[in-house]
Formats: sequence, C-alpha cells, structure tokens
Amino acid sequence: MTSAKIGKLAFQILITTVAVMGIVIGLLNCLPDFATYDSDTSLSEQSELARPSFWSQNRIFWINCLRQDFGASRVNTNYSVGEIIRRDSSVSISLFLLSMTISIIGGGFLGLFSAVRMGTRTEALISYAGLFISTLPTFLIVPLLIYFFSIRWNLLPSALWEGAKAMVLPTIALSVRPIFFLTRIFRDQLIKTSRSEFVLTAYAKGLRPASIWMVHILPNSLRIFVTASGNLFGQIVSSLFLVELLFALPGLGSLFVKSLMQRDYPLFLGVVLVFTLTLQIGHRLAEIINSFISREDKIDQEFVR
Amino acid sequence: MIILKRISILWLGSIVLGSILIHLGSLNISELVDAKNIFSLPGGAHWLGTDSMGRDLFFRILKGSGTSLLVAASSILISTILALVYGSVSGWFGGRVDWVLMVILDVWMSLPSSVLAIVIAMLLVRERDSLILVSVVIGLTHWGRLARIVRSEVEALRNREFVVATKIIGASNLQIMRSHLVPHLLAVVETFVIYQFPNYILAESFLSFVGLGVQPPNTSWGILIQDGWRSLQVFPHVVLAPALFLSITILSLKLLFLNAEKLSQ
Repeated sequence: MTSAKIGKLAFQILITTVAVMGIVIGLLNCLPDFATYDSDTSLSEQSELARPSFWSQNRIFWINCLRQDFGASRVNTNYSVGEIIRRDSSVSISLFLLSMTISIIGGGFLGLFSAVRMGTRTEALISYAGLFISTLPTFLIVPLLIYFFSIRWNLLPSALWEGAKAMVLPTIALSVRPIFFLTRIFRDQLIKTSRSEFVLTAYAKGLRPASIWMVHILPNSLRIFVTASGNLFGQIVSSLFLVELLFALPGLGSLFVKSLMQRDYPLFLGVVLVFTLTLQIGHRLAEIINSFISREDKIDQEFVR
Repeated sequence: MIILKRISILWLGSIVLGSILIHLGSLNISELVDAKNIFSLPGGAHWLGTDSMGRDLFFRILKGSGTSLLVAASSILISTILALVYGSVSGWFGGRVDWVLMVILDVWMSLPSSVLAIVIAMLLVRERDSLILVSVVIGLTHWGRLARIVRSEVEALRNREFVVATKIIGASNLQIMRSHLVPHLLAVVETFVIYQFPNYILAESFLSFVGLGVQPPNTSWGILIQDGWRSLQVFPHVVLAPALFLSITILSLKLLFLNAEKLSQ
C-alpha cells in the first residue's frame, strides 16, 4: 500500500462524501422550512424569501465543517450539534463494533464449518436456518426477541443501554442476519475453491486434509469474505437505527430519525455526515485489506511462473 | 423438494386470490369494527383474533397482503425500467458518458438504501396516502444493482458480431437497442425480478412500519406489525399473525425459485 494509493482512496472518500451531502442538501431544499446553519446570519434571515442558493448552502456547510462548528441544535438549543453527536455516538459505536465482530466471527466459523462438513445433517441444518432467518426482517426479529426473552422468560431487559445485560438483545437483533449472510457467501466460495485443480493436486501429493484447508483453500477464499464483510457495514448501519429506535437506545441511529422528524436540520446534516464517512471508510477498508491479501496472491503467481 | 414447491404455489395463490376477493367484496369486512371484542384471541368468531379497534385480523391481513404485493410489484417495475434505461445508456455509449453515469450511481449507492428511503419518503410520502409514491420511493432506492448488471451486459453485447453487423447495415441506436439488446437483457431482468421480489416486499413493510409508507386507514403487513408492536407486551398475537404471513410468503417465494443445490440463495 503506497502513499499514493492511500491518497487516492482519501480523495475518493472526500469526493463521494461531498456528493452525498450535496444530494441530501438538495433533497432537503424541497422542504419549506429548510435552513442550513450559518454563523454569520441568523435563522430568521434565512426565511423562505431570502433562502441562500444551493451552492452557497453547500459552501457554508463545508466551511462550518472545517471550523468544526455545526451550530446549535434547533430543538435542544442548549446543546451544540457536536456535543449531541459525541454524546450519542458511544452507544452506536459499541453496538456496531459488537455486532460487526460477532457476525464476522460467527459467519466465518459457520461458513468454514459447513464447507468442511458438506453433505452432513448439521450443514443442512445451518442452511435451513439461514433460509429461515433471511425471511425475517429486522423489524420482526426485534419484537420476537423482546417477546420471548424479556416478556415470556423475563431474562433480559427490553430497552435502554444500562449494563452488559442490556447489550445482548440489540446485538443479537443486529447480527443474526449478517451471520447467515456471511456464512452463505463464505461457504459457497470455500466449496468452489475446494473443487479447483490445485486442491486436487495437493490431495494427490498426499497432504493431510487439515493442512490443505488451512494452507490452500482458506487463504484463497478470504477475498470474497473480506468484501462481503465490507458490504456488511452498510447492512448493519441501516438496521442500526431501526434497532436503536425499537430498543429505545440513545444512539446515532435514533438521533437520525428523530432529528429528521423534528426538522432539526443542523443536527440531521451532522448525523448524515458521520454516517456517510463511516460507510465510505468501511467500504475502502475492505479494499485495503483485500489489496494486502491479493499482494500475496501475486507473489504466489510469480512463484508459479 | 417438489412438495415444498407445490405448497408454496398453493400458499401464494390463495393469498393473491383472497386479497383480490377482499378488495372486490362490496361489504368491507376488513374495516368492520367489533367494539365488544377488542384484542380477542385467535379462535371462535375471529380466526386470528382482532386488533386494537376490534377489527378482524384475518381479513385485515388478507387486505394488507394485497397492498403489500401490489406495491412491491409496481416498485420492482419502476426500478427495472429505470435500471434498463440507465444501464443501457451507460453501457452502450461507453467512454466519458459511462464514467460520469457510473460515478453518479456509485454515489447514489453509497448511501444505505433504508436511510435513503427514509429521507425521500419524508419528502414525498408523509401524510399523503398514495401507493404510487411509496412504490416510487422503493423503486428509486433499489435500482442500482440491476443498473450495474445491465451496464456490464450491454457493454459485453456492444462489440458482438451481430450487433456490429446491424450497425453496419445502418440501423439506428434505438433500433439496435430494441431488436437486439432488449431480448438479451430480458433473461437478466427475469433473474433479478425473481430473486429480488422478496426484498421489495421487505422494503415496503419496513417503510410502512416506520410510518413513511402506506398510511393507516389503508393497510399492509408493515402497518399491521407496527399496529401490533404497541400492544406486544399483552397481546403478542397481533404482531405474530401478520409476521407469520409475511415470513411464510417470503419463504415460499424463495422456495419456489430455489435450485436444489443452491439451498440458501
């Protein structure tokens, strides 16, 4: 990974973020009471008649961004947007990281397991479970979890973010679908790789199956797994705010919906910026990790030649 | 496997038939209020019980499934048309046009679809009861993947001999697109529609659940689940019944088009 490549990735992230914010600001301009935060003019001056043009709205937004000043929330006027986002992001970040780790570990393990044990009853069970889970959207998983775990059996709290016990249900709700998504993709790729010719050669040489799986099949299937995990970023983020709303967690996701419903535009734009940057970085992260993996591929190919 | 497919065909057929009958019926059974039997449990006069206003849940669900399937079908139509036009223009003309269009598409797709759907729905749908607007929102947020597939397909077709030959004869771009590209693209579109239809149903019920899709006097699976969510603690059947219908429908759609080897597609 050269510095030029990192620079190129950073440039891509920047361009996409600017474009996304442009789209969002453009869309919000359809609303009658939309106004961006501007430290030089008061809100009353930005009335319908004197609304600044689309370009100057964008310019003002990015200048404020560089100043790290998003203004005060329009609803909670005592707090600045930066303060609110900083306060609420800790819940979202920990929930996100928890479910990301669990889905990557769980998906990787289940995928590997069902590829190695292909054709057995356990593998069929995992596949059917995946099929069943894929028919349940997140907004159905949450009521089911709450009904069984906190109402019926009274095991876990059904809302708020207090103590380790409260983290269990939201994390499960977020990671159940990703786990089986990853399992399916990883399993298919592993099976595909295990049928290729160099694996047959390795078997013919008399290597042990365990070492063939660890040395030949697994590393050659990792690229797809990493790319799929990168796609998971978007999936988890888009179910994140639903899960936060339903479990009444004070996080960025519920902030996103609430700020839009309350027409709190400075706050909303700040949250959208955070989301966009996170997603962009997530996608590129998968690309960067893949470039490391594929470099090893290239070395292998040169060696073969 | 065959028996599973037959069961799913039976299920889908009866759902469609039931919702058509409910919509055709002159007496609006799904709106009848039985005020003495609020939240009655399944069984007896009401097969699946009643909801918070004492309306029969079974008929409500049947009516809602019609709306859900209709919205999903029209939104998949919208995104297919959009993706076909966008993808074939991008793939056919190539070069700078292709680059610009693909960058725009990348930006559009880098927003998570449900976030995008919420923003657009806030602007278009809020407090306006229009199934067409809901379909437009879902169609607008889900067309990107098909557009990419169509683009790469058209790009591959562009330099094939029969297309070049047609060009040499002097056919216009539009003629070539109509007579050669579209028939080739139909197969791609068909697989997309088959495999993505469940996701469109889920998108509709998600939007309705958040309150930005189908609006309350009208009903759909999302609305019914949202309605039951409030009384989950005491009367879980109001959530479970529409949830069961939604899950079984999606399961049978997936089973119907499942290849035996690709079990969990």
